[in-house]
Amino acid sequence: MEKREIKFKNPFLVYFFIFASFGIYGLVWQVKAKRDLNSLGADIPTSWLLLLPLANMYWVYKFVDGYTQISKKGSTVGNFLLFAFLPVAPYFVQSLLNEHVSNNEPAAPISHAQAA
Amino acid sequence: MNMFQTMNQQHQLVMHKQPNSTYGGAPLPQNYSTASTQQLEEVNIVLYLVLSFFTLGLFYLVWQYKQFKQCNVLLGEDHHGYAKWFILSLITFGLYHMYHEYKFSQDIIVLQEKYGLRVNGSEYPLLCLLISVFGFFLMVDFIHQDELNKIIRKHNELYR
Repeated sequence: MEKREIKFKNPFLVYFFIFASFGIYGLVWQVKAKRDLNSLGADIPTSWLLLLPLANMYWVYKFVDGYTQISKKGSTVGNFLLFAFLPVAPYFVQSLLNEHVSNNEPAAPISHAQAA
Repeated sequence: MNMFQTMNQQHQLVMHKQPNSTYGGAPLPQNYSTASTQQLEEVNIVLYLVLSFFTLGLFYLVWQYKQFKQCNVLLGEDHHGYAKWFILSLITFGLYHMYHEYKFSQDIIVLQEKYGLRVNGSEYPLLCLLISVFGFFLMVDFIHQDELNKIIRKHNELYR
């Protein structure tokens, strides 16, 4: 499993960047999210598959499978249909990754004044 | 491999062969307990998709044959007949193929229970049918093959 530090990203900013870059940031975000999901235990194949016809659909399926495996929400095929027909993947996946970041954030050190 | 490990594996197999539940009342295969000990090869899904694309779908027939064979070996019976599928799909202009995808999904759930893997929800066969109805047959096939590969991995581990 790849060791990787997951960064917090605002899901709405992800949408904004995708819109502003005419979709190019969408690909960048997918690759980064794939690495983050793999570091959490998913088994998503190489992102180069996104460039191959038909294989890109399989890549998306594995991406959704990884998301479902980690989030434990819904079924893979159900989520696959949801993500394929509605532009909701950045919101759901990024929210899951952000949740993981907040859960693993080290607790803020207690100041002397608070301790007292 | 020592005797204890062999006995332990045999015990695991017996456990997998006796599931507590079946999908949505779908009947289990007749000779459910007689699983084949034959080693199976996982399918490289990306390669098969690319080959299907470049051969204009002809390789898809080979892929189907392989899927049928794998499923029959895992179930331990001839549940899916290739000739029957081919002829009926031609005669019914693909309608039988949709039905076949539905039945195949049910068999995958039976196999997942049998091998103690994460079982897909009861909506799985219906969603696969829905995808087929909209014409995305290849999509359903790689979904099935992905599940079959997971089952084959487990099968090969148990019968190593």
